[in-house]
This record gives sequence, C-alpha cells and structure tokens, in this order.
Amino acid sequence: MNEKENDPDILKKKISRRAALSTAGKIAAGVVIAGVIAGVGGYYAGSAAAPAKTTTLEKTVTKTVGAGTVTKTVTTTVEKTVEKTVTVGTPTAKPYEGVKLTVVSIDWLLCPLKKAHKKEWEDLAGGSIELVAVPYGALYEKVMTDFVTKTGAYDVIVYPGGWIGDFAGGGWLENLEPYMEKYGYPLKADILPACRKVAEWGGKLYSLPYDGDCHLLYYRKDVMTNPEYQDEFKKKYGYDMPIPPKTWDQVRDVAEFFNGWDWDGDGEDEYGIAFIAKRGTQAQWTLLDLIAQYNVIHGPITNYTGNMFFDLETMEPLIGEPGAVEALKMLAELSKYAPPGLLGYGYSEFREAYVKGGVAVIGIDWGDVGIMEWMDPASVVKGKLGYAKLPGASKVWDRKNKKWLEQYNQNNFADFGGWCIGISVLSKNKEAAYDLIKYLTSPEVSLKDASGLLGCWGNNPYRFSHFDVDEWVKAGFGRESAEQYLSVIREILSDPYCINDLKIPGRVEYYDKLDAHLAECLAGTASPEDALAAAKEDWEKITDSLGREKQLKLYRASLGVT
Amino acid sequence: MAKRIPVGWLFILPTIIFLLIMTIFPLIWSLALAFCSWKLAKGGIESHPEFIGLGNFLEAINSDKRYWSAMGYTWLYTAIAVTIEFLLGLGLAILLSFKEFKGRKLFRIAYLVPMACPPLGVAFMWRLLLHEDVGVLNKILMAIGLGRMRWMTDPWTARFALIMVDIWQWTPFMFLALLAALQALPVEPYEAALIDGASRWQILRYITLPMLKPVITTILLLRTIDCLKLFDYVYGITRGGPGLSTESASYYIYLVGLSYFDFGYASALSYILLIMMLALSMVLILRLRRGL
Repeated sequence: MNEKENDPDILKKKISRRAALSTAGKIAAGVVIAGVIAGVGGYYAGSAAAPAKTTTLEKTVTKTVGAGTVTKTVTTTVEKTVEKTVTVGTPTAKPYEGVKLTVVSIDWLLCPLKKAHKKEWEDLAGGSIELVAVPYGALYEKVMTDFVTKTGAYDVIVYPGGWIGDFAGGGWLENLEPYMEKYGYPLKADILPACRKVAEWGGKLYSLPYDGDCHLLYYRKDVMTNPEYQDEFKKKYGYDMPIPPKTWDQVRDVAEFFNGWDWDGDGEDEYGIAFIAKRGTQAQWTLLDLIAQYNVIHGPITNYTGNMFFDLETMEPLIGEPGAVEALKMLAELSKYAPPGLLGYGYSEFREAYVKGGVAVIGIDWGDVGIMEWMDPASVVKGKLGYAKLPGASKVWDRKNKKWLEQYNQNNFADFGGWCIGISVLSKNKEAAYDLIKYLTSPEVSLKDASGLLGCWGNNPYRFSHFDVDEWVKAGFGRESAEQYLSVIREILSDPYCINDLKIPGRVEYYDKLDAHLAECLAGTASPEDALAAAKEDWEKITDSLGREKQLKLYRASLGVT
Repeated sequence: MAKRIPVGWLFILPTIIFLLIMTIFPLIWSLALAFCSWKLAKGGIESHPEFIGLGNFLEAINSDKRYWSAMGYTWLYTAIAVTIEFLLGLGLAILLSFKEFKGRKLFRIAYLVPMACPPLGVAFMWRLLLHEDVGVLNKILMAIGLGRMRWMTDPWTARFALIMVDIWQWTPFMFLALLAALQALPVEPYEAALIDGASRWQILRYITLPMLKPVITTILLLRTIDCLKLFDYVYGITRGGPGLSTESASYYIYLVGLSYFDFGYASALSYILLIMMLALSMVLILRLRRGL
C-alpha cells in the first residue's frame, strides 16, 4: 500500500482514482435521492394546500351596484359552487393570479397596505404582495444597491419625491405614461399641482404621487388664547399675541415668551418651540423653511424670484447668500427657546415630544403631526392645535441688486416633495405593479390613507378630493380642526408659486452636506456664516463632480424653465 | 503507478472557494475601485468606473478635512476606550482571581450580558437612556441633585458618551480574557516571590504583568481594531452629531459609499484606514513576537 494513503497529514494523504470516483458517485447519488425525496414531498405538500380541481359551469348575471356596474359570475362545479364578483372593465376576474409583488418603503408608508390594501388588492387581482419595511435612513441605500447590483428584489418602490432625479434620472424607474394610456389613471386632474410636479421627470410621469408634503406651523391655540398670557405678552412685546404668528420675528417672540415655565399646569416646565434638529434626520428642511422666506423673493420662477437652490445661469448655489445666513441666524436663535434635548430630536422624537409630551407651544413639521394629534391614542394635544402656513419674513434678500428689501415676504414650500410610488425597471411584473399603484393612489382608497382612517399617518393629502371634511370627521377628526388643517394644506399645495423641493441627481449628497453644516451651527461649533460658506463650497464640489452643465440643464428642467 | 488525488485539498477546497469569493475578490475589486472614479449619480444605469490613478487618495489627503476630523475622533475614541477597558478589565480580573471573592461565578456569568448584546441594539438602548429630556440617566442625575447632562447635544459630552457605551459593552471582553489568562498562570513564581518577601504591587509589576504580556498584546490588538471600525454607536445614537463631533471614519466612509454612492472615493478612504490599522497591528505583533 502506498505510504501516502496512511499519511496522518491530511494535505499529503492520497487516494486512488477508483476510490475518488467511487466516493464522488456515492455523493452524487445521495444528492439525487435527497432531491427526489424533497421534490415528491413538496409536490404532495403543495397538492394538500391546493384547492380541489373543479369542473365548472358558468352563468353570468349583471347587476348595478352603487355608481358602477358589477358583473357577477356564478360558477357551478361538481364539487362546489364558486361565486366571483368582477368589476366591468377588468379583463379577467383575477388578472394577476400567481403574481408576487415586492413593495419596499418605510414602515409608516406601508402601514395602510398592512392594515387593509394588501388584502384588498390580493382579493381583487389574485396576486400576492410582500412588504419590505426599511428605516428611512437606510431606504436610499437599500434601493440604490438593488438597482446597482441589478438584483430586482423590489417591484414597487415608495420613495421621497426628491430622489426622482437619482431614480428616474438614473434610468431605474419605469416610465408610467404607456401604462396610463393602456390601463388609465383615475382622475389625473384631481392631483394637486405641487404634487403632480414632484412625480414628473423630463416632462413624463415616472411615478404616481402617494403623499403631499409641506411643512406647517403648529401652535397650541389653547395656550395662546389664554387671556392672562395674552395680557402679559402684550405688556412685554407691545403688540397682541399673534395667532398664528405671521413672521419669524413673531415666532421668536412667542417662543421666548413661553419658554421655560409651566404654562399648562402639569407641574413640569415646557418650552416655546420645537422642531426636527438632529443630524441625519431631515433637519435641513427646517432651515429651508426659513431660507424660503429670507432668501427667495415671492413670485413666478425666474433667476431672482421663486428660485431657492441654484442660479439659473451659472448653477452657483444660493445657500451662501445673505438671506440664507439670516435664516440660519434666526433658526439658531429659535433653538434657544426649545427643549434642551432639541439636537437629539429626529422626526420621531419631535413628534413624540410635541404630540404625546406637549413640550412646546410652537412646532414645525409635516402634516403628520395633525393626524397624530387626533389618531394617536397617547396624544395630549387632541383638539388643542392650530395650523398655519409657514410664517414669512419682514425682509428679503434681493440677489439681483445685492440689497435687502424691507417688505413682508412669504413663500410656501413643498418640503421633501412628498412620497411617490414607482415601478423598478428591473421588475418582472410591471403590469401587475402598475395595477397595484393605480389602486393605491385611486381617490377612494387614498382618501382613507390621507384622513388617517386606518390609523396610519404617513400619507398626507395630495388630491383635491382628499379635502372632503366629512370624510375626515368620519375618520375621527374634530370638524373645526379638520376644516382649518385641510384649508391650510390646500392653500399651500395649490399655490402656483409654491416652491418645489430640489430633485436633481445628487440630492441626497447636497442635502446631507447642508445638514452636516447646519448641525455644526446648531451645536455651536460653527457660525452661521462659516457653516453656510462651507455648505456652499461643498455644493459647488458636488455640482462639478456630477458635471456642471448637465446639472444646470436638469435643474432648469426640474423647474420647468427652458 | 496509479495516479493519486490529494484528498486533503479536496476537503478544504470549499473553504478556499468561499474565501476567494467573499474575501480575496472583494479586496482586489475594492482596491481597483480606489483608483477609479465611479459616482452613481453621475450616470445612473450607464455609469461605470473610470481610471483616475491616485486622484481619490490625493483628494482625501489634501482636501477632505471632514475625513481627517472623523479620523481624529476615531483614534481618540480608540485610545481612551481601549485604555479604560483594559485597566478596568485587569482590575476586575485580578479581583475575581482571588478565591476569597464571594459570588465570582455569578458575577462572571452576569457580566457577559453586555458583550452578548448586538451592538446596534445596545446603541438604540443607550440612545433612549441618554436622551436629554426623557432619558433615565438624566432623571437619575436630576433626582440626586446633579442636574441635567447634555449627553447628545454638547459636542464633547457626546464624544465621551459614545466612549462610555463602548466601555460598558466591551470591558467584559477584556475581563474574561485576562481572568482566563490569570487562572492559567503557573503558581511557582508566586510562591517564590512570597518566600522572598515581595509585596503585592511588586508581584503584579514584576511577575503577573510580564507573564500576561502575550495575552495583553493580543486583546489590545483585537479591541483596537474593533474600535477603529466604530460605526454602530454612531449610527444608532448620534448619526455623527451634534455637528460632526462624533462622526467616525467608518461612518463617514459609509455615507460616501452608501449615501452618496461614490464607490471609488469610498474605497480609497477605506484603504487609507486599512493601511493605518495594518501599521498599528504590525507594531503590536512585532512587540508580541519580541515578548515571546
């Protein structure tokens, strides 16, 4: 026998070719047998779960139900009778039987699907839906990684509208116009103008609006209408308590007045104002709210009016202008009248503190706070909040003439852009995916989401039909609150001069750099001037790295400027 | 003679293939990317790497102040955390090595708990504890009259808060390794030292520590490498804030690579960090070899 066959050192041990072939054959036979067992077992397991085959006899009955016409198909079989209700217009009863769709987004936006719409669509269309919830901070990374690796793990993506530059501009989203032509889209004219713009790229719809976003000013009307507080305010500031504040100077005064004492009699001190300020959690939108007032002259979009981010000729960032610096100075001032933990307030912490903790008189946030006010069982501010559009500024920087204009200036701003719902180009089930997103954004279904009827509060109004006050009252809102809340949002998103959010490629990086320098200023490690100068420098570098001419062209296109 | 097949290599072939795919290939690929420019926002579905030589490295070294600021905090964090963990771990190990210490078995088991928790879970837990307004720590401090600490809103306090979390979680590692090493030491040198009248401090300094040197070097090396990779606590607790005070090198590389999707630049930054870690590791390993 060869010595090496008995060599204790495994790496030197050898076997004969016959023995090697024999061993390989045994392993292969074992794999085949295991595969057969698994296959047979799977077949029988599937058969046990599958419904019994039926022989069918069909009889069709048509009747009118509500505003539509429904065709009811009765199927009689040898074993059992199956009834199916089919809406006229659907090619077959369950056109997407066996199709599986994967929908990815943050948990809040998937909430309506989890609670109701997933099952509704599955029953109607026959397909199945898998929901993938991802934290907001990881959503961009997860979706882009899927695109780059061409894995195609997600069919439907619910994403912030501002990412459309990267997603649609990068060629990762399906153009929906052919699907709309083929399958229709319910009441396109019902979509609010600001929301429609968000979902477009290069003049085409690459997504459907799924949420309308803008910041509101929230205020504790129960506190601000207290006569005693009003008298003291007037004594201190020389004018009546502004309900709601119309300028940021007034916000500052109100915040200072209510800061650091127990104005609600619960035994704990409260504060004047609260907002999202934590690094990496959307704090830059709070700053942009003020920049829109101090640095953007109200009016139609030209290089010097209605234009917030870049010069329309040179792509020079506008965030370093004196108006933006003034905005940051005001925000830094306001932070003094906020809870001590303000720099730890991401959007979750802020909403918990404002709605469930009642920590501040004034809050700045998206429409979600209004819904939480009424729908969250732990809300301590139910019926106590007033709603207003963003306050303006008492002066605005005139970039063209390089001087301050001492005049009242107020701009509405569609912060964040709103969430959109789109189809990945990598999806293998695009038709089914379009059917799903059409269903989810239809007027009837989306109204349930926007009004918080299902107990979810990620979707804010984006259709004119969402402003039906009676539906919101049915959902649980107080009538007076619903009227005021909806009228403010409607006013903002119907404003033809409402500033749309940035949506060119690289937006994530532009905003992250702005957020980082904002955080430095709020933490006291940089002055407003230095912070915005650094942010401007970063933005220039980003623009150059992506191609200045290309970015300028895309920015102009995103504003509808030719 | 019939041809023989080396069976040993067949057994380890799957491992070799796995290592090639999961370790060697990514290393080579990322190194190649470090010499390229590849930014997804630039071309989207049509973007691809373009060779630019040392461009990424020069940009990082010459003009990326944020990277070096993050690197500075990472090294500060490592130096303080590892030192305190070592001293605390050694102290506890020595204490529990005395047979008279009651409850040492129970303590040894209970003290494993922090180390057994996933780092991100620990981060989220501490984020709640450290919350300035509603966190338990501040409630306790205020109850005993010490006032509120700005755990996550003051730049320097936040830096040390993360170090504190690291110490809480990883001192048990030092403690366990040192305790095991202490219990494996031979008793004869100690008997001889006692006979010669050595004090406890002399025994510690001239007998215990020299004999523990290989273990100490190893655990310092392991914890240093771990700390230099700081990410979980930054992501879970502060997101690099307040300002940029707690942004670590790894967190910044994550932002560049997986938020900005600038793959080439992120690869270059990663290799710079890797080179620094390798240099430190070589120093410690050489010391270890000399000690043996």
